[in-house]
Amino acid sequence: METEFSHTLAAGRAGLPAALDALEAWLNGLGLAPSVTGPVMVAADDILSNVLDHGGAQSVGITARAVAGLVTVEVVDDGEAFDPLAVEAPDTTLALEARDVGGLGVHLVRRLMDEVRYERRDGRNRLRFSKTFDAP
Amino acid sequence: MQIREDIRDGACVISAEGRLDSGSAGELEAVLPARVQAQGKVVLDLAAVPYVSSAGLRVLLLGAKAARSTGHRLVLCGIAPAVREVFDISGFTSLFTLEDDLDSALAALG
Repeated sequence: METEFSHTLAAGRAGLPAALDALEAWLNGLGLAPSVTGPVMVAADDILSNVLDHGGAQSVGITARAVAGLVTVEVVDDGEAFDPLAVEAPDTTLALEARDVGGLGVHLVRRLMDEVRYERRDGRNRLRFSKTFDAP
Repeated sequence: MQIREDIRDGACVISAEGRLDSGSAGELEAVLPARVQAQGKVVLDLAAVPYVSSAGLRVLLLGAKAARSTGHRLVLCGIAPAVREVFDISGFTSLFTLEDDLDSALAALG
Protein backbone atom coordinates (compact mmCIF):
# COMPACT_ATOMS: atom_id res chain seq x y z
CA MET A 1 0.00 0.00 0.00
CA GLU A 2 1.50 3.30 -1.14
CA THR A 3 0.78 5.80 1.61
CA GLU A 4 2.18 8.87 -0.14
CA PHE A 5 1.05 10.55 -3.33
CA SER A 6 2.59 13.36 -5.37
CA HIS A 7 1.53 14.91 -8.66
CA THR A 8 2.34 18.11 -10.53
CA LEU A 9 -0.38 19.59 -12.69
CA ALA A 10 0.78 19.81 -16.28
CA ALA A 11 -0.58 22.53 -18.57
CA GLY A 12 -2.85 24.22 -16.06
CA ARG A 13 -6.53 23.38 -16.29
CA ALA A 14 -5.89 20.92 -19.12
CA GLY A 15 -3.97 18.80 -16.64
CA LEU A 16 -6.72 18.68 -14.03
CA PRO A 17 -8.52 15.51 -15.18
CA ALA A 18 -5.23 13.57 -15.22
CA ALA A 19 -4.38 14.83 -11.72
CA LEU A 20 -7.80 13.74 -10.43
CA ASP A 21 -7.44 10.36 -12.17
CA ALA A 22 -4.11 9.85 -10.43
CA LEU A 23 -5.43 10.89 -7.03
CA GLU A 24 -8.48 8.66 -7.41
CA ALA A 25 -6.31 5.67 -8.37
CA TRP A 26 -4.15 6.27 -5.31
CA LEU A 27 -7.16 6.53 -2.99
CA ASN A 28 -8.70 3.37 -4.47
CA GLY A 29 -5.38 1.59 -3.98
CA LEU A 30 -5.62 2.32 -0.28
CA GLY A 31 -8.90 0.41 -0.16
CA LEU A 32 -10.79 3.31 1.38
CA ALA A 33 -14.60 3.32 1.48
CA PRO A 34 -16.56 5.47 -1.02
CA SER A 35 -17.69 7.54 1.96
CA VAL A 36 -14.05 8.69 2.24
CA THR A 37 -12.83 8.75 -1.37
CA GLY A 38 -15.95 10.57 -2.64
CA PRO A 39 -15.64 13.57 -0.31
CA VAL A 40 -11.84 13.75 -0.76
CA MET A 41 -12.24 13.75 -4.56
CA VAL A 42 -14.94 16.43 -4.39
CA ALA A 43 -12.68 18.57 -2.19
CA ALA A 44 -9.71 18.04 -4.53
CA ASP A 45 -11.71 19.04 -7.61
CA ASP A 46 -13.14 22.12 -5.92
CA ILE A 47 -9.84 23.31 -4.44
CA LEU A 48 -7.84 22.69 -7.62
CA SER A 49 -10.53 24.37 -9.75
CA ASN A 50 -10.43 27.34 -7.40
CA VAL A 51 -6.64 27.61 -7.61
CA LEU A 52 -6.73 27.38 -11.42
CA ASP A 53 -9.44 30.05 -11.64
CA HIS A 54 -7.56 32.53 -9.44
CA GLY A 55 -4.13 33.93 -9.08
CA GLY A 56 -2.37 32.87 -12.30
CA ALA A 57 -0.23 30.08 -10.84
CA GLN A 58 2.60 28.75 -13.04
CA SER A 59 3.05 25.70 -10.91
CA VAL A 60 0.40 23.68 -9.05
CA GLY A 61 1.39 20.63 -7.08
CA ILE A 62 -0.68 18.15 -5.15
CA THR A 63 0.61 15.81 -2.47
CA ALA A 64 -1.28 13.46 -0.21
CA ARG A 65 -0.61 10.98 2.53
CA ALA A 66 -2.62 8.50 4.50
CA VAL A 67 -1.35 7.87 8.01
CA ALA A 68 -3.03 6.63 11.17
CA GLY A 69 -6.59 6.88 9.94
CA LEU A 70 -6.20 10.32 8.39
CA VAL A 71 -5.92 11.14 4.70
CA THR A 72 -4.44 14.59 4.09
CA VAL A 73 -4.18 16.36 0.74
CA GLU A 74 -2.11 19.50 0.20
CA VAL A 75 -2.34 21.76 -2.85
CA VAL A 76 0.60 24.14 -3.32
CA ASP A 77 0.69 26.86 -5.98
CA ASP A 78 2.90 29.84 -6.79
CA GLY A 79 0.10 32.21 -7.79
CA GLU A 80 -0.93 35.44 -6.07
CA ALA A 81 -1.82 35.18 -2.40
CA PHE A 82 -5.35 33.83 -2.31
CA ASP A 83 -7.19 32.31 0.62
CA PRO A 84 -10.23 30.48 -0.75
CA LEU A 85 -11.48 29.97 2.81
CA ALA A 86 -11.97 33.74 3.15
CA VAL A 87 -14.93 33.76 0.76
CA GLU A 88 -18.39 34.14 2.21
CA ALA A 89 -20.46 30.98 2.63
CA PRO A 90 -23.40 30.77 0.23
CA ASP A 91 -26.97 30.75 1.53
CA THR A 92 -28.00 27.12 1.00
CA THR A 93 -31.56 27.70 2.20
CA LEU A 94 -32.68 29.92 -0.69
CA ALA A 95 -35.48 28.83 -3.02
CA LEU A 96 -34.63 27.57 -6.49
CA GLU A 97 -35.24 30.89 -8.25
CA ALA A 98 -32.85 32.70 -5.92
CA ARG A 99 -30.05 30.14 -5.95
CA ASP A 100 -26.86 31.16 -7.68
CA VAL A 101 -25.26 28.50 -9.86
CA GLY A 102 -21.83 28.98 -8.35
CA GLY A 103 -20.01 29.55 -5.09
CA LEU A 104 -20.64 26.19 -3.49
CA GLY A 105 -17.16 24.71 -3.83
CA VAL A 106 -15.48 26.00 -0.70
CA HIS A 107 -18.65 25.39 1.29
CA LEU A 108 -18.51 21.73 0.25
CA VAL A 109 -14.83 21.43 1.19
CA ARG A 110 -15.43 22.92 4.64
CA ARG A 111 -18.37 20.65 5.35
CA LEU A 112 -16.99 17.42 3.86
CA MET A 113 -13.52 17.60 5.41
CA ASP A 114 -12.60 17.24 9.08
CA GLU A 115 -9.91 19.89 8.81
CA VAL A 116 -9.11 22.59 6.25
CA ARG A 117 -6.24 25.04 6.53
CA TYR A 118 -4.77 27.79 4.35
CA GLU A 119 -1.27 29.13 4.69
CA ARG A 120 0.84 31.57 2.66
CA ARG A 121 4.47 30.56 3.02
CA ASP A 122 7.61 31.12 0.91
CA GLY A 123 5.60 32.89 -1.79
CA ARG A 124 3.24 29.97 -2.17
CA ASN A 125 -0.38 29.24 -1.30
CA ARG A 126 -0.79 26.04 0.68
CA LEU A 127 -4.26 24.62 1.11
CA ARG A 128 -4.46 21.48 3.17
CA PHE A 129 -7.50 19.36 3.87
CA SER A 130 -7.93 16.15 5.82
CA LYS A 131 -10.51 13.47 6.39
CA THR A 132 -10.46 10.69 8.96
CA PHE A 133 -11.17 7.10 7.99
CA ASP A 134 -11.51 3.72 9.62
CA ALA A 135 -8.47 1.62 8.73
CA PRO A 136 -9.56 -0.91 6.07
CA MET B 1 -18.14 10.71 -18.38
CA GLN B 2 -20.52 8.65 -20.51
CA ILE B 3 -24.00 9.96 -21.19
CA ARG B 4 -26.72 7.83 -22.71
CA GLU B 5 -30.22 8.88 -23.69
CA ASP B 6 -33.31 6.70 -24.05
CA ILE B 7 -37.05 7.22 -24.22
CA ARG B 8 -38.97 5.14 -21.70
CA ASP B 9 -42.69 5.36 -20.95
CA GLY B 10 -42.80 8.72 -22.72
CA ALA B 11 -40.00 10.17 -20.63
CA CYS B 12 -36.54 11.20 -21.74
CA VAL B 13 -34.07 9.18 -19.64
CA ILE B 14 -30.53 10.51 -19.39
CA SER B 15 -28.08 8.07 -17.80
CA ALA B 16 -24.71 9.42 -16.70
CA GLU B 17 -21.71 7.28 -15.81
CA GLY B 18 -18.52 8.47 -14.13
CA ARG B 19 -17.61 11.31 -11.82
CA LEU B 20 -19.51 14.56 -12.32
CA ASP B 21 -16.86 17.20 -11.70
CA SER B 22 -15.11 20.15 -13.34
CA GLY B 23 -13.77 17.93 -16.11
CA SER B 24 -17.09 16.34 -17.08
CA ALA B 25 -19.73 18.91 -16.09
CA GLY B 26 -19.58 20.49 -19.55
CA GLU B 27 -20.64 17.21 -21.16
CA LEU B 28 -23.80 17.06 -19.07
CA GLU B 29 -24.40 20.79 -19.48
CA ALA B 30 -24.55 20.22 -23.25
CA VAL B 31 -27.46 17.82 -22.77
CA LEU B 32 -29.47 18.30 -19.57
CA PRO B 33 -30.85 21.88 -19.74
CA ALA B 34 -31.71 21.50 -23.45
CA ARG B 35 -33.60 18.22 -22.90
CA VAL B 36 -35.52 19.68 -19.96
CA GLN B 37 -36.42 22.69 -22.12
CA ALA B 38 -37.68 20.44 -24.91
CA GLN B 39 -39.28 17.50 -23.06
CA GLY B 40 -42.13 17.46 -20.57
CA LYS B 41 -40.67 14.57 -18.56
CA VAL B 42 -36.98 13.98 -17.97
CA VAL B 43 -35.25 11.48 -15.69
CA LEU B 44 -31.57 11.89 -14.87
CA ASP B 45 -30.23 8.53 -13.69
CA LEU B 46 -27.13 9.04 -11.52
CA ALA B 47 -26.77 5.43 -10.35
CA ALA B 48 -23.33 5.13 -11.98
CA VAL B 49 -22.03 8.48 -10.72
CA PRO B 50 -19.84 7.96 -7.64
CA TYR B 51 -19.61 11.62 -6.63
CA VAL B 52 -20.58 15.16 -7.67
CA SER B 53 -18.48 18.27 -7.03
CA SER B 54 -19.70 21.86 -7.15
CA ALA B 55 -19.16 22.05 -10.93
CA GLY B 56 -21.64 19.19 -11.26
CA LEU B 57 -24.09 20.77 -8.82
CA ARG B 58 -24.07 23.86 -11.00
CA VAL B 59 -25.26 21.85 -14.03
CA LEU B 60 -27.95 20.08 -12.00
CA LEU B 61 -29.17 23.47 -10.82
CA LEU B 62 -29.37 24.66 -14.44
CA GLY B 63 -31.56 21.63 -15.14
CA ALA B 64 -33.84 22.41 -12.19
CA LYS B 65 -34.13 26.03 -13.27
CA ALA B 66 -35.02 24.95 -16.82
CA ALA B 67 -37.75 22.71 -15.42
CA ARG B 68 -39.11 25.48 -13.25
CA SER B 69 -39.21 28.04 -16.04
CA THR B 70 -40.94 25.71 -18.52
CA GLY B 71 -43.20 23.82 -16.12
CA HIS B 72 -41.54 20.59 -17.23
CA ARG B 73 -40.63 17.82 -14.80
CA LEU B 74 -37.15 16.62 -13.91
CA VAL B 75 -36.63 13.65 -11.59
CA LEU B 76 -33.21 12.47 -10.36
CA CYS B 77 -32.72 8.85 -9.39
CA GLY B 78 -30.14 6.43 -8.05
CA ILE B 79 -27.95 8.92 -6.21
CA ALA B 80 -25.09 7.34 -4.27
CA PRO B 81 -24.65 8.05 -0.54
CA ALA B 82 -21.62 10.31 -1.24
CA VAL B 83 -23.77 12.31 -3.69
CA ARG B 84 -26.63 12.45 -1.20
CA GLU B 85 -24.25 13.93 1.39
CA VAL B 86 -23.23 16.69 -1.05
CA PHE B 87 -26.89 17.38 -1.86
CA ASP B 88 -27.76 17.65 1.82
CA ILE B 89 -25.02 20.11 2.73
CA SER B 90 -25.71 22.22 -0.37
CA GLY B 91 -29.42 22.52 0.31
CA PHE B 92 -30.11 20.68 -2.96
CA THR B 93 -32.21 17.86 -1.51
CA SER B 94 -35.26 20.11 -1.26
CA LEU B 95 -34.74 21.55 -4.77
CA PHE B 96 -35.11 18.20 -6.57
CA THR B 97 -37.48 15.28 -6.84
CA LEU B 98 -35.30 12.30 -5.87
CA GLU B 99 -36.26 8.67 -6.43
CA ASP B 100 -34.40 5.49 -5.50
CA ASP B 101 -34.22 3.99 -8.98
CA LEU B 102 -35.32 4.41 -12.58
CA ASP B 103 -38.56 2.45 -12.17
CA SER B 104 -39.73 4.58 -9.26
CA ALA B 105 -38.68 7.72 -11.14
CA LEU B 106 -40.81 6.71 -14.13
CA ALA B 107 -43.68 5.83 -11.80
CA ALA B 108 -43.40 9.24 -10.15
CA LEU B 109 -43.71 10.92 -13.54
CA GLY B 110 -46.85 8.90 -14.27
